[in-house]
Amino acid sequence: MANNDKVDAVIVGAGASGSVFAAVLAKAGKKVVLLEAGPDWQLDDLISSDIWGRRIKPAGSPFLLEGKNPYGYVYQAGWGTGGAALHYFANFPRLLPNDFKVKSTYGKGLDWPMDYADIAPYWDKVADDVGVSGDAKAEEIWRPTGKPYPMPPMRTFPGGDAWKKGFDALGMRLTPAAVGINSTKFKGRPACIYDGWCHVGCPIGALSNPLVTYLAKRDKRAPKSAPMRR
Amino acid sequence: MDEIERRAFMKGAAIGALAFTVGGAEVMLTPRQARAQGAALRTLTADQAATLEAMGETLVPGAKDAGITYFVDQQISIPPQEALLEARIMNVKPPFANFYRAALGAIDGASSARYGGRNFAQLAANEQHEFVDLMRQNKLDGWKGPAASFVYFLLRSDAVDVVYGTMDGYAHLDVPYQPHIAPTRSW
Repeated sequence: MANNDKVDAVIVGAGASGSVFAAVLAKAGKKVVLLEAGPDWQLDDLISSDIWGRRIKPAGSPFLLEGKNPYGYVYQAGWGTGGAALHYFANFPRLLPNDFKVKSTYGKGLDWPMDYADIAPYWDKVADDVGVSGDAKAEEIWRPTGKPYPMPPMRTFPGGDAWKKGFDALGMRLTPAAVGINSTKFKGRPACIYDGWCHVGCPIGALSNPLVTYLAKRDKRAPKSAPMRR
Repeated sequence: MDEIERRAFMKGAAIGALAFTVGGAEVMLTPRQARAQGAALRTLTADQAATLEAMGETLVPGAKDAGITYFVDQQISIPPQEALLEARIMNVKPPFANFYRAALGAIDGASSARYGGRNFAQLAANEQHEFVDLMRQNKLDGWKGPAASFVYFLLRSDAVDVVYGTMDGYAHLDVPYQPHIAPTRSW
């Protein structure tokens, strides 16, 4: 590293989790170093191409896959600033109250040491931080009443409309998915233009990747990278 | 790769072309242009290139002229962290050249065993299709290398990349490309 300055926290990995920890600590006045093995991606690295988009997927030693049905993980993973959250579809579903009590309700798995009411305020906070579009009222058929999402749901297209028609015919409810994508302008970021390149990264910042949310105010004067050996 | 080559590649990344060597000079070309201009192969042998080209064309017609051999050869010659290959996201262990050498060797080994000493590129079209049908089902006797069905999957992906994965390919399919940031060339 460039120096041996003492810091309050060192976080390994600048992805979906590390970026939140870093931002929350920094906002509380802590000095934070965020270590990341991959490149320091910028928004203009996010080229709209299935081929060029592979650059933001991991490179290097492969993942060790074990078990009866080993399943490749690299496609979903990331490397570099933003990690996998640089090229995700930003689905933000919530657990349901009974998900926290599967042992006591169904005799399977384990109960969580917290319940829905404990965690719901934090889902609301993240939704306000990153920008989530959805219809909370419509979701209340299966979850408790809560705060509305900061933006209305995304528009639907003929594929979704066809599903909706089928569900309606069967008397079943279908609600818009809650997504971390701007259906309207949000905190200086533009609304989605529905061009379908989420999976290789959204360079306009309509999709809530860490470059435009928790890492937007990071100190870019810091050394961009340092040699790292494994 | 030395620093000059590396810079050339990164420049290529910005404009949507790759670095090839034509007549001893480094030039930025699409794989189709590299084939048309007779760019030098960097890693694959002539036999391996012929096998890859024939297999690519069998899997996805148009892959030969679209430069599948030049795409793969260039991509396995650069650092793996800069590679754009499907192999990268399918958990193949770098260097990717090792996978392609083993895969192409397995294809010609099995082809030779089944068709009287002839490599895949020397087979008739109907034999090539028969071979591919067996390969995708892991039913080729004498196959020695990465799983045949996985080789089928990856080489087909490479062929799809050069034929359909580009802006030209989308246009050919009449699918609107709608880029945020487009490669300034259509590849």
